[in-house]
Amino acid sequence: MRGKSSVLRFPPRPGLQPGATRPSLTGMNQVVAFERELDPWTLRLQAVARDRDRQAYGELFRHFAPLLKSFALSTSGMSSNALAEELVQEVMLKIWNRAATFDAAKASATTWIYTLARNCRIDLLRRKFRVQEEVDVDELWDFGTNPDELHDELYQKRIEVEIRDSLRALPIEQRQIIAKVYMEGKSHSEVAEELSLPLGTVKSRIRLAMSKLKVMLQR
Amino acid sequence: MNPKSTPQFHPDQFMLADYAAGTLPGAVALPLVVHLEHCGQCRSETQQLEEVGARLFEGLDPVPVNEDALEQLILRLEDDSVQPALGAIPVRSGLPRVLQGLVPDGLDALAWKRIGSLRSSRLHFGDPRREVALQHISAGGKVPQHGHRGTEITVVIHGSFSDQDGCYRPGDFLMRGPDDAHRPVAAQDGDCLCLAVLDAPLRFQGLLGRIVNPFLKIRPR
Repeated sequence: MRGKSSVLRFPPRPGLQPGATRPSLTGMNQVVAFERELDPWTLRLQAVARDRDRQAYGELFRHFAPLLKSFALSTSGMSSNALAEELVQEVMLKIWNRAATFDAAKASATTWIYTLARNCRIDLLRRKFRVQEEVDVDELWDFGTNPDELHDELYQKRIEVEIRDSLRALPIEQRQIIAKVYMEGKSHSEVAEELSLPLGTVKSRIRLAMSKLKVMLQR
Repeated sequence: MNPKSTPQFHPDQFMLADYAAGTLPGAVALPLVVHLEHCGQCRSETQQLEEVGARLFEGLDPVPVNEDALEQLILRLEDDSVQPALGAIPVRSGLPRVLQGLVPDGLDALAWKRIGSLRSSRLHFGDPRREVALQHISAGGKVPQHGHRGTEITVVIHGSFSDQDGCYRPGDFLMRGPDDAHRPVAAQDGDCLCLAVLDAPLRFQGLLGRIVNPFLKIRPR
């Protein structure tokens, strides 16, 4: 996976993928009417939380497990199949065990699962390199949300679409660096070394990319 | 999560991005999370940076998992194994949530080392290259003029202190590099408690410096 531009392809929204059979919504009849408005993965995650719905869980697995494996394999220093399968198992298990703590007003299912995967990767790397830090990864990578910072799903969706579109529109050299930081888990100096670029260039590309992604607030 | 104070000093954008990407060292994430507990602006920025990660994640090329992966998983699922939310941890000792495990028996149970009116207590975090310490300056206390040999990150937990560049209140996040020298003074009306993370020892200036600098080491725990 490494070196390949694997993160540069953006599929259409989940649930609308051409050729994919639309997952059935058994067990979620009461929400079918709203399905076209709501994120299908968020709906399934909520069904897992509410009804311990194993079918919805299986659908989440079929969609997310291959992405989780890809995420693990693209991580620098972690390209073993066994470790990647371990990440898949651990994250999928957390999805089941923590579904009740998922809050659709904070983030979509995909975003929540990304943060689980990110944390699990930190944990696996800690173990692999025998780092024993005294604060649990999920505590260190959890910053809470005030109730007045919650948004409705429509707002979430708009942010998602905006960021997805801006990512697509980024110049390749900026997108590549952002992907190396997020998906491969590389530090800025590791990216600079790999691409034979000065550190300052890497940083300014990240800054440019982020300002286009509109995530850097004015200060 | 404290609505009363809005921090004026923030971590830089790269640090938030590295946190959202999960590449920030844990010892640096520690003061950052203390800041985030106070700062709605940085929380919302971090959330958006996580959205960026999530969009990259969903765009990855799927890789098939082992054939028996789902089967194995199903065996491990239990209908009643619901974990409580992390937020359910009771708040003790007035310390930020993320520090409570590092100070299990409260501030008084820690071993404090004194340099002038600065008292410092190293916490056992587990990063072999960084020292994580609580620093306490008593009301009106002055810390001798000092510079930094590496990077010192400081976040105010309670009280306030000031130096030539400003006044720092709870949640304020400061990063000092090798070229920054300062002389922190705690506010007159109360003690100041900070979390500091150092990757190299401080460098005190003047006569005190000539005497103590050779003996100062960071001592990660």
